[in-house]
Amino acid sequence: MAALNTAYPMPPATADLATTWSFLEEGVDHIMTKLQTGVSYSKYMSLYTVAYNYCTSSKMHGNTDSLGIGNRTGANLMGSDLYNNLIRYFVTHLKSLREKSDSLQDEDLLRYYAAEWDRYTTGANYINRLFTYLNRHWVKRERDEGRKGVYPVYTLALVQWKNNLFIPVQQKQMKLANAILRLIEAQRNGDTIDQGLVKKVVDSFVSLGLDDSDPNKACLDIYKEHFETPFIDATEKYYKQESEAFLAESSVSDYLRKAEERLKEEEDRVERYLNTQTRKALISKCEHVLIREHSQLMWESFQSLLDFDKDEDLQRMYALLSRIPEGLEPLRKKFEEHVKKAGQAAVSKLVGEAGANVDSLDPKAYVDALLEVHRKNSETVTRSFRGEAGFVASLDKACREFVNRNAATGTSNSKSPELLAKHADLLLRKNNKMAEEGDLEGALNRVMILFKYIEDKDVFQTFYTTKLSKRLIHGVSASDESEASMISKLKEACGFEYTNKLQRMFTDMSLSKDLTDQFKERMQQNHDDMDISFSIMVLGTNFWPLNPPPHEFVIPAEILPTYDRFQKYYQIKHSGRKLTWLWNYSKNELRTNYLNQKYILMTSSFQMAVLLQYNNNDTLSLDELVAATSIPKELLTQVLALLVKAKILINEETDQYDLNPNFKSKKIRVNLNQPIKAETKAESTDVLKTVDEDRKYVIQATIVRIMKARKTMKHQPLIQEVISQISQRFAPKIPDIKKAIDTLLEKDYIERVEGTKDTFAYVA
Amino acid sequence: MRLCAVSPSKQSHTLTESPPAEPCPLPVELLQRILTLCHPRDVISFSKSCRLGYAIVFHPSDQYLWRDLFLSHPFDDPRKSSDDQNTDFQFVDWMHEHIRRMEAEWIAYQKGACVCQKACALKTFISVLHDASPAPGGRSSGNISWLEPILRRSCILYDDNYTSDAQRMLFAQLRSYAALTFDNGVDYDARLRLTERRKNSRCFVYDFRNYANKYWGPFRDDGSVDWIHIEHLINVVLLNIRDLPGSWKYITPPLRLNALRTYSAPSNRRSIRDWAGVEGIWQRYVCFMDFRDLFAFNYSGLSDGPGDPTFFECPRFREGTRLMELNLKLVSENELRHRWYAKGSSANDLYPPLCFSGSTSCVKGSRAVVEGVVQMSADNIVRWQFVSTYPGDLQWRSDGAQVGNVGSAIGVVGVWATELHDEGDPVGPFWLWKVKDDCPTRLMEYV
Amino acid sequence: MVLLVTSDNEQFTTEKDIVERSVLIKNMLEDVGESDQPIPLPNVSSSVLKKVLEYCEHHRGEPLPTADSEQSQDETRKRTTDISEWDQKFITVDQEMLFEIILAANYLDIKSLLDVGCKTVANMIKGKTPEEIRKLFNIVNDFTPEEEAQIKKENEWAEDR
Repeated sequence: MAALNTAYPMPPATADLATTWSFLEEGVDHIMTKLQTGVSYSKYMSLYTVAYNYCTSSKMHGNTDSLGIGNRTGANLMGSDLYNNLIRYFVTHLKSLREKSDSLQDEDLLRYYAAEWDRYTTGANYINRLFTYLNRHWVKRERDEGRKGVYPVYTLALVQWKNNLFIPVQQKQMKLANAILRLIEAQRNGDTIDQGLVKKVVDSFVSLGLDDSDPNKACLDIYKEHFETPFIDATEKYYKQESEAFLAESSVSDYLRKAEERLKEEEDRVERYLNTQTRKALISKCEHVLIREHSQLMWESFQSLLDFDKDEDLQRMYALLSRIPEGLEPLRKKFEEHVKKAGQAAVSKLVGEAGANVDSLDPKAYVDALLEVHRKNSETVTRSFRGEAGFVASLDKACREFVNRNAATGTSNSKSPELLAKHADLLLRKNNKMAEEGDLEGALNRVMILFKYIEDKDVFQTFYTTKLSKRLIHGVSASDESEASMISKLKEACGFEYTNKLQRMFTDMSLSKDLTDQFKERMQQNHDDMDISFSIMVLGTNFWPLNPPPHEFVIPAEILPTYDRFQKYYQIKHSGRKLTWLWNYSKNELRTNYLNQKYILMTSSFQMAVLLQYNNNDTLSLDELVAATSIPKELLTQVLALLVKAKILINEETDQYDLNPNFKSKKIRVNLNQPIKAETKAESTDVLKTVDEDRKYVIQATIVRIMKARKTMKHQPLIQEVISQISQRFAPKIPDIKKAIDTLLEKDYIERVEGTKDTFAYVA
Repeated sequence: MRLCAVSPSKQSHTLTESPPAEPCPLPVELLQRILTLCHPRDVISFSKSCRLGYAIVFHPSDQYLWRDLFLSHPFDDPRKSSDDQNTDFQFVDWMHEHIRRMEAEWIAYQKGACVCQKACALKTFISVLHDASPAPGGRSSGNISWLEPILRRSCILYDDNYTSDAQRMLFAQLRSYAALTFDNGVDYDARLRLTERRKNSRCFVYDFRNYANKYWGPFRDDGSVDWIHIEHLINVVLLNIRDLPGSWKYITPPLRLNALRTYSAPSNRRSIRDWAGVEGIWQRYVCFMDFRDLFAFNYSGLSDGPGDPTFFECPRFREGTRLMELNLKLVSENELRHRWYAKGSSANDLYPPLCFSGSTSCVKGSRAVVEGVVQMSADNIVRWQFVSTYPGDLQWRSDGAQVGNVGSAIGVVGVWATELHDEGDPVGPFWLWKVKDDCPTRLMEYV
Repeated sequence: MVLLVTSDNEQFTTEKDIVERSVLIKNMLEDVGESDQPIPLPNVSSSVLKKVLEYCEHHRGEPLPTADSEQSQDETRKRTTDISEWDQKFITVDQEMLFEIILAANYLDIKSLLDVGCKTVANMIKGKTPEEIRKLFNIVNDFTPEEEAQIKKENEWAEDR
């Protein structure tokens, strides 16, 4: 077809390469160099059409005059001619651009480069579309054949830019990269630079990367080689020099601030004009130079920041060191040591020099001192170390240490649980100053903080049980709600088994109240001679840490009828159950009739037994009293001593006790029921004895449980397993475990496996 | 370029106004584009219209036309036939491969084709199956959609007048791949053919003289697979399964051509290391002759001496068939109790030898320990060897070849025997195939 | 509105969204910007452009193929020579016009129209002998008798119909 168009003169569809190309070259050059002067539709269409016509027309050279393989022209695609001419054009064009750049340096060079890059890539985009047909057919099919080095026209333009401008310029001492690096350095020094310019040049580096198998895929090899690597090196050098100089003149606190600022700045730099992939390399390099290289110094100054409570600096140091691997570990260790020492120092202060106050240590003061150390450092962890798990663990480890081992405990593992249990007891008693609800609940929660750190939780349990039993028997518990609240906290911390006994004790108390009421009702129906008011607590032997008196006791005739009636009543109700009377825990009230003023004497059962003897006598000898009550002489003398001290009895001659007919008291109710010294002393030792017995049992039970599951086990692993299973309740001692193993061997629960020294087997 | 054969001169455009009509004005790339939408037969016709047409079809400057024709036929892309992600440019001669397949199809339907042509066709069909796309990915295979009707409608699977061993081997290989799925005729002739096949296969499989070679199993002395042996093993097992009572006869290994595709076997946890898909649950049929029968068949001087086919014509003759289950796991070489192969015997980086062990259970309740090795043989067939040790140290040795491609669903066919391979020891066929992990256990013995 | 001028100097005024079915024109309007200049189409005659615009108007608003979809079409490779009813009717033209439409679609870069044209020609080739194909494309048999004999032997399978 004859291509005739009024608008724009162009070669005919059958024009040869020379004619075609000279027409196209003029147009290509116009677009590459003078695009700003505009392109008309007709010019655009004529360029497209001429390129299209050439691609789709044949020059018909060489007829297909044989069927031989050698002759392939007949089916050849046009295209390579245009493609090669385009290459030639780009090479020439770029050569002139390069020559103009030779005399330029630094910012001038960058400005020139960026402006030309803009013009070139815009033009190349046009050319790419004008040669669409070449791309669609010739280029695509060449690439489908797997031919390397053939690209769509736009990519070709970039490849040519890279080979004919970029690489030659860079080969002169990395002119481009260094120009950028100098600008960046100026900015680091505080100057204002043209960031847009830097971004433009850096982006061109990215565009020049080319994945040969897929031109559309981004590839950063040029950017990395020609910019990123030298940039990272320059950064390292710059900050190495700066940080060393800065630290030579300033404090670590100031340096922390400086490093923080610099890291932020570099993050922003990536954001503003670098490729995001550089972030990782850049930041990790900065972290290395700014933090890692000076971490020793930071670690060393950590202690003084702690000592002076420099929260802000601590926060900053934490934030910086958390960015490098292993940066925090030394801090955690130091912090742990710091907390441990603080705890120990607090207790030492309380105890006084050389342990002066160990025995008279006030549980509340002790607990408060421990809690204060915990509170302060716990706040530090939250505030300065963002509650980071590693620091929480350090805090816990340190607290565990000083709570269980300090100047007050010495080597005893039971001192802390004992004091904590006593403190809890005081809190839960009536008339405690803290008994207003809100405060009490808070105080109990604080007890639980320390409880968590107690190693021998069974010791606490035993003390707590004893104290609770006293509170219940003597009715001095502050409130049932608070007791229940504390028990549920313990249950939450240690499980149902741990608090089972405590809950049973409460059950016994309420059952006993019902029992007393029922018994009273029955007595009112059957007997009218009940002039004694009577209440009873029936307590399960297994749940209460109480023992009957270790001696005989003659029940005074005055209470014998009531005693017998209750025994009978109870036997009928619960046949087969044995009642053991705990005279040593009973309380009595006696009304005086022998004095003008009527007093009510509140006594223990033993005091009551003694005083009732004086219903029939005014004077009795010690031996007579022993015979009448069966109370052993040593105890009886102490009972009597109290009565004498209270001036109820008079002891003027050795071993002879007279009723004081002139007894006087300011109060009507006279409390004679003071604890006897020997009793208080015995209490602590008793508790510990119970704990030891329990432990033996727990260890044995644990071994049996493990062996039942594992069938056979070696000595060492068995001990490890026992420790790991029990340590929740207490820290078992290895000799105790060995002893337990021996016991179980003797009892034939386990046996040694034949032919081995240290393997045990479970005996079913 | 314009297809302009009338006047191949520079002035061709001057002819545009001259009657009768303008020659076709389409440039080469458009003609090729049109041809990619045609059947190859039409493309060949086009090539015969003129010299330029011939050049466009047979001497193109690139492979665009034939690659497009091939892939839109559609055939599976042979560059993606193996499962490995080899992205390197692989050269394929699309034109010759395509024409070869067209020719093979034509030969298959030719009544009077010579054996050489038919052997070529067999070779082509086998390679088409090997080039079928891997089963994972869910796409159906163009190669199999093309081949299946040819095998069903033509006689290529039945005419066996081949003259050389190599030809017979190809025929047996294709028949093994087809695994009797095309021998389903119900008419009298078809049944007679099957009876004959069964008799011949039994003769081959149970004749001790066929086990005197170096590798003992269905392998030839050069280590390649003996497809003639495999085909007989397949015939014996499949026809025994068809005789099973009740619904047992429906428990067969997956047959049909799709079961030959790469990784068509069920696999819940394929890993790169386990290239053969060893790990998992397998089912296994073994067939056996009563030992007295086996001896009589091999050593008796009756009728025509050892290996007389009439032996199996006795209507009361029957073999035993047992279905068992295996659970296999890969292990390292030093965990094996047997020494299986000389190091470096299979220097294939992509498919290194795999050692496995596991257990097998059968209906009698005895459990055996299994261990063995899988490797790629020189002829690119996956080869399995293993022993099963029963309590009391009775050991059986099995040798087999995976039918089809790596990880094929159809499984492994081979021979079991005693570990020592002494003369006169029992032998029989087995068929091992993979099932899903949650497949219910099915054990059976029928004698 | 866009003004088009054909090779035989006829002017067509058409809407932008119709004419932009041609990727060539769409790209150019993007690159050069819109103006009231006429757009010369030196490779398309008025009779052909009329047909092409008819096609574009009918298919206006349909999504244009992107580079990606062209790729994925390559992947699925369904050889379908099916043509929709309207297109079928549209392309029922004499052979010369058919080839001109194909060329115009190729030149203007209208992929769907090019497909319709190529499929139509492919359907015409289907089942034809070499001699019939020669007639179709108006070409002359330039093989020597020896060559013809040789070629006949080469692909025996294709002879059989």
